[in-house]
Amino acid sequence: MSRPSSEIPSSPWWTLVAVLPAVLLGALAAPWPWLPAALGRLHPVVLHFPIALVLVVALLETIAFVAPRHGPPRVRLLLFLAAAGAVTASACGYLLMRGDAVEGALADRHLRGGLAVSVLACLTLALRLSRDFAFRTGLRRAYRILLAATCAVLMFAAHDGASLTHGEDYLTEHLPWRQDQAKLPALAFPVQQPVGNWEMYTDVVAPILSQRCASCHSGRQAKGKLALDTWEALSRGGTTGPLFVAGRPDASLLVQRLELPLSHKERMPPKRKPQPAEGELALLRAWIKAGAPRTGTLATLGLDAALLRSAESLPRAFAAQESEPVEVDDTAWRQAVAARRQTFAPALASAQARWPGMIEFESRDSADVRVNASLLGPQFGDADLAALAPLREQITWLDLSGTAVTDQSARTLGSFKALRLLRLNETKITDDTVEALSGLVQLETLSLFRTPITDAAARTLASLPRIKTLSVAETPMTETTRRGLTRP
Amino acid sequence: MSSDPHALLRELERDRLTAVTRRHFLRDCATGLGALALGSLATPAFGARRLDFTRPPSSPLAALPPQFTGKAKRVIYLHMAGAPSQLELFDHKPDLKRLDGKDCPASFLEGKRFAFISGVPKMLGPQFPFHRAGKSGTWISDRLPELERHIDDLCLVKSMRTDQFNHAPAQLMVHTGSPRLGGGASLGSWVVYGLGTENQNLPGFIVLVSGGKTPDGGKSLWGSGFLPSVYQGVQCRAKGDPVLYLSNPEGVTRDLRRRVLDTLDEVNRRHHAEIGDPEILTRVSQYEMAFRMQMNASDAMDLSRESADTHARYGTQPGKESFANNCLLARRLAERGVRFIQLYDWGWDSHGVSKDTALNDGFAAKCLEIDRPIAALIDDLKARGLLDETLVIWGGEFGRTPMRENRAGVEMPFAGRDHHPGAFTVWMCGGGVRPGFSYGETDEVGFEIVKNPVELRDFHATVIHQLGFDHHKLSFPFQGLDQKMTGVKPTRVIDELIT
Repeated sequence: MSRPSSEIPSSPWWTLVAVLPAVLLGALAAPWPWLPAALGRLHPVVLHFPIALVLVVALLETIAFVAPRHGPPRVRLLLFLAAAGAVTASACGYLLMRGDAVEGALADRHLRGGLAVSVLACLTLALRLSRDFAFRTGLRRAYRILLAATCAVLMFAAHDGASLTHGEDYLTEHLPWRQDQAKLPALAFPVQQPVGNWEMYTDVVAPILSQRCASCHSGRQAKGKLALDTWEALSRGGTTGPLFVAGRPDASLLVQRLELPLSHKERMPPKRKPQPAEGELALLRAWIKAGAPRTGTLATLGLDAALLRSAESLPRAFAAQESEPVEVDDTAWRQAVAARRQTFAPALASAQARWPGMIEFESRDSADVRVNASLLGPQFGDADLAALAPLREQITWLDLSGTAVTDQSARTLGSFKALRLLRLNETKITDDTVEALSGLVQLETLSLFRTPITDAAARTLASLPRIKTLSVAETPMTETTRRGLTRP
Repeated sequence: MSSDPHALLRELERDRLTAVTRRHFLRDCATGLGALALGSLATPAFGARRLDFTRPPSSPLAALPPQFTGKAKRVIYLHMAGAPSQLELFDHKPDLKRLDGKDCPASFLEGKRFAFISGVPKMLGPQFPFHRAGKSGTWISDRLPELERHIDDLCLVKSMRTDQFNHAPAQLMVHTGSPRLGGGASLGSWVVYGLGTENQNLPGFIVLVSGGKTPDGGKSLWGSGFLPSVYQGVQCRAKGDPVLYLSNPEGVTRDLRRRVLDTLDEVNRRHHAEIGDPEILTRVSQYEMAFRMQMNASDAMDLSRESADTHARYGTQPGKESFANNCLLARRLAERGVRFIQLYDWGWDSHGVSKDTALNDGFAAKCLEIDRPIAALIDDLKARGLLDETLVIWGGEFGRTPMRENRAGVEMPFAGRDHHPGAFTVWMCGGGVRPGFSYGETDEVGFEIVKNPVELRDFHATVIHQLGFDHHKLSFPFQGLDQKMTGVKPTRVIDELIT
């Protein structure tokens, strides 16, 4: 049995594998400072070749191992190209990190991974090229183990690289079981508190930055040496300098970059990435204008109503960011609603049977009840309203316009404490009924159009704490009183 | 082998059957069942939860609660058919005034198609002066002085765009989301499908037409497409019988009509039990609705019950077909729980070919016609506390060019503008939209959108959101797909427009 002759002499192969990275890294010493950065940008051009080649070699070897009758595969050229590609990609990658100021734990790990792949690929190639390969079982076994190790490390390094470019959840983003986990952390707003009590930095600025910027600028991955996920990193700034000048939004880099036209290459976030809404930008400006403080609530910083509204809409805006529907696991909540509905189900069922179509839940997600008696007109009177009393804790929306209810219902109405909307248009109710409404602290909308109410009702109406919309048109109430009540 | 093709086919079939063995049968059963089981197991994990819109077959319009609590409960949609000029009403362009009479720059014309403009047209400055109005300082021209009283309640979108530049397809695009005839269900029918209607004695979706002509898109504009036809719009007339053939013919009493209907129902229901076509039930419920409407519709549509003061504020004349009458009717229908009230007013196609279509003549007259009634409608909704939950929408099917129309390359006798799908203005009011707010921007001459473009599907999604539905969830299974108003392109609820 003759030795298989190597079809290519081995020394020039090695020369090339050694020379390529040397030339590339030598660019750092070149007199042209742009050269290393430009060569670094070749990293994404080169890197896919070694990945594919190593995997192809592994595949061919596996086939040969499982079905040896075809003889040993001719993989030396492929393996050489893989090793050369790996060292080239690593060298370019190093230049890219220096040139584009990419840093962070993830980037470091990717660099180490890339170097490991290069070394392993070269070792694998060395074993495969050794003259005794065909005769020594030990060598062949070591070669297979090394090749497998190269593949394994390669997968990790490649995945880290992809996470750097596309974001860490790129691969798993659309998997059904990832949807909830991916969305929830960003939504930790103190929604149960009035918006004025929200912390400006913690509850408004930080969530905006984390939603819009942190996929590229965070501790794990800091493009331009800029991280925005901690207060310290934020106040340090990045390669282009500090992010903001306290009190001067227009002079602040953060605002300048955000306000560049989308086509500008320095615009942040770059085009094709999700863009902040106008309200978010206004909030960031207001924060810098107030001196970019770390603590302080929206109320103490004196934000105006429009800004408060923008802040308040952030949770919904971020949740609705995805154009695709996001399935949120709300089982627990649904069960709570169902349990609440259960508590008054018999009362509701009998009322619905008596007045088909008049009583409905506010929504499918709610145990609050809407009653629209206006469609029955004069057929609906005081006795009927009294029959709804068992549901008074649940009815939040009640339209009695045009019905026959009178002041006899005053006390009943006063006991419907859950009401948010009450409409009594064109009924006979008078100031007495209005007085009975003084305990309806949830009431936001009250319509008394064409009722015989007078100025005497004004005091109660003015005392309703949550009222937003009040209609007293075409009543005997005087114009001055009316204007005093309905001013915004 | 026989040469008779039938015998040949029979032979082939026999061969095929003998080739199938018991093993094939067992294998297919096992794997088929496995696939079915996997499909049903995987649905909760991969398939989206579908909302249930089923109702008892006898009341297909029964009210259903929305998916979540929406700010708006009903819609009044005022469509100015023919497309009113945004440059004469809401989109203030001082630079266009300076360019008046100059040749249009070539960059505007490259790659563009127009309905009538040819060659190099001249720019046409705004024909009416603009000023800031209200506390919001919103720009508006002097053509709508009454509406201006409500300027701080309006939410203007100046960056609407469409991809259709002819009336019929563009109107279909606005109202059905698709430019094709019969391509989709109309917004109103989607809304009534989703929410039903509170008043079972009136249709849930009523259409009122003025301006002397049905809009170019025809009745498909309020069609139900693939939705059951019970959800289509019902056109009512302001003159004579509100609905044609609603009254009983002479000599037929209401009792007799009832008995006829009972017999007819019996026949129809038997037929339905036999073949199960849901359209038969639609027909049954429509007969019933018509019977109930004989009593209720005439009351709802009777403008003579309104006070003289109201008629003066709207400028209405009972018994006449006019936009003003339709606005007053819209208020009466809204009070009676009608879910979707659609008005079309024809006559806004200001090309400048005749006096009627001249911007400074016919167009100005149209503005005068709509100004008072719309303002009075908003006044009335406010006075009754209904505006908060009634979404009023005003708009056309596209915009108009900043160039003067030059049909066949010749200057025309009157000032007019051509169709322009690239930018137009729509406003909304009430129903939880942000009051006193303008969204989106066009360039210095109002030709291209430069900021915050809004596609019609975004607009639809926003309206559907205000009514309490995620637009992905308001869907109807048809031809193997979950059909929805907004289709499959990326769509966003314009959060900025919402309070």
